[in-house]
Amino acid sequence: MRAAVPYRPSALYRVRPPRAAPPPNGAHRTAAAARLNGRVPARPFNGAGRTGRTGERPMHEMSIALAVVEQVEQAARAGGATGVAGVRLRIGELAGVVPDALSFCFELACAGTLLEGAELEAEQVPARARCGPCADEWAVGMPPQLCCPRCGTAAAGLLSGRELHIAAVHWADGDVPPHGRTPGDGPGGTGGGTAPVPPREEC
Amino acid sequence: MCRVTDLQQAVLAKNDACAHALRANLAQRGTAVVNLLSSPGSGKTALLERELVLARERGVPVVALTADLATENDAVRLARSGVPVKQVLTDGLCHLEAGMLGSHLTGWLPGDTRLLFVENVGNLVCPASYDLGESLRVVLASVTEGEDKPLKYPTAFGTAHLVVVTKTDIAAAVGFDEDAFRAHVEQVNPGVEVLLTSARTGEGAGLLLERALAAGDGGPVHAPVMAGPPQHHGHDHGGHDHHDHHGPVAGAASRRGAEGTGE
Ligand SMILES: Nc1nc2c(ncn2[C@@H]2O[C@H](COP(=O)(O)OP(=O)(O)OP(=O)(O)O)[C@@H](O)[C@H]2O)c(=O)[nH]1
Ligand SMILES: [Mg+2]
Ligand SMILES: [Zn+2]
Ligand SMILES: [Zn+2]
Repeated sequence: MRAAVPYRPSALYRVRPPRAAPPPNGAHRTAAAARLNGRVPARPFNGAGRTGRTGERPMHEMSIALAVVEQVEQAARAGGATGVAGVRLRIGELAGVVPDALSFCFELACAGTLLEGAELEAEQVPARARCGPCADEWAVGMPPQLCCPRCGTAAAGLLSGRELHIAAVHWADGDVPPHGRTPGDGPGGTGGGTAPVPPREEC
Repeated sequence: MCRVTDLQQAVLAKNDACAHALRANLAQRGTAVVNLLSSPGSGKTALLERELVLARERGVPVVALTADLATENDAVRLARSGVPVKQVLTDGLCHLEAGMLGSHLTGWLPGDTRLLFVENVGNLVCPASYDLGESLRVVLASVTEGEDKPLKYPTAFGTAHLVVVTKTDIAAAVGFDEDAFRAHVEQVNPGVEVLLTSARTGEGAGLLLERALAAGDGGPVHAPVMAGPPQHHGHDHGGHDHHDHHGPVAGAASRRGAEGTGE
């Protein structure tokens, strides 16, 4: 048995990981994240778009909004874009995100970034499940029913409903899309090509 | 002219990547993470206090990290067990993220740790969206919270590997309907095990520890329907037997013995 380790309350264990030295790979937080980091207000958001569920806690959707802004900024930086007109998200019914609340947070998260004023278009994706034995497919509804309505077996899997994806970014007028990311879509092309996911920041 | 780029990128991709890295890193050291989620006050700390004492008595090297918006009270309570404990104050953030967890472990996590219990912030909404690199996700609900809790928080209960009912000592007093609760759990997460516990009387004591050790050793872990595709994890292709799913950290124990605490 190991020796008992007494708990030492204090500064050693203080809030947020120490970020004194930047990670070796140069990972960094965006301006928006840095600005809001640790200051996500607990109260002002309550009641705005989500009622009864959050009590006094800060809103989850702000974290999601910041993640969206960070990723779009990264894509923009990679391609030299200077403005964003809109962002389209796909939000599954079971993603655990309230679209209205997210829209509200998105506007705040965009302020002061190159997404300032960007429109958020949230496409809701219904959750559907499939049964193995009888190959039945059904809309699981809310609250979800994940046992087959026909034979009662547990669903073999979800066909959709957990999405939380950035589907597309509309760059502001006059901007070229990020170069090298839209195959066959050089300057003057048609736009809307599929872009490979930019390299991920490490943790 | 308005230009469009199809990004097709998961919003939580960064957290997921961090969680995968953390899971792999910890597996190499023989450490498995147990992520405990519940509403505020469901009894996470009380249950954990008991399990940590049991682990220590049995000589199982475990540690606990507890996240709260404020106060170090939970860490003080947990530390009475004698196992290493760390308090993380999230400073307003309502959930833990994998990157945060990882950086808190650096330089702290003892090299021989088999289980790292993480008491997440009391909240059933967003912690459910953040993979912490855990091998076992445990969602708790006390008998006082209503039998329909799993239906109100389907993403949390739906992604649990194990559901724990707490405070059964007062079940009769509050008229807890166990059958109704189980039926609701089954509706959102068919096949998941439900444990009954009371930190007050000791009912179910040791079960959580047992399940966690089994998962850490690469034993079969329940595969929630909701955790399958189309989530952006890419390790799960559906269609498999629900009771024969090996968690992403399967085999953590096989690499046990790796020395050192460096990341
Ligand atoms: N009767 C009874 N009360 C319990 C039991 N477990 C916890 N409690 C009480 O429930 C309250 C909350 O317990 P905690 O263990 O602090 O709950 P928690 O989930 O850690 O709370 P947060 O960390 O604030 O989210 C305390 O007053 C405990 O004494 C139990 O098994 N039976
Ligand atoms: Mg607690
Ligand atoms: Zn069926
Ligand atoms: Zn949160």
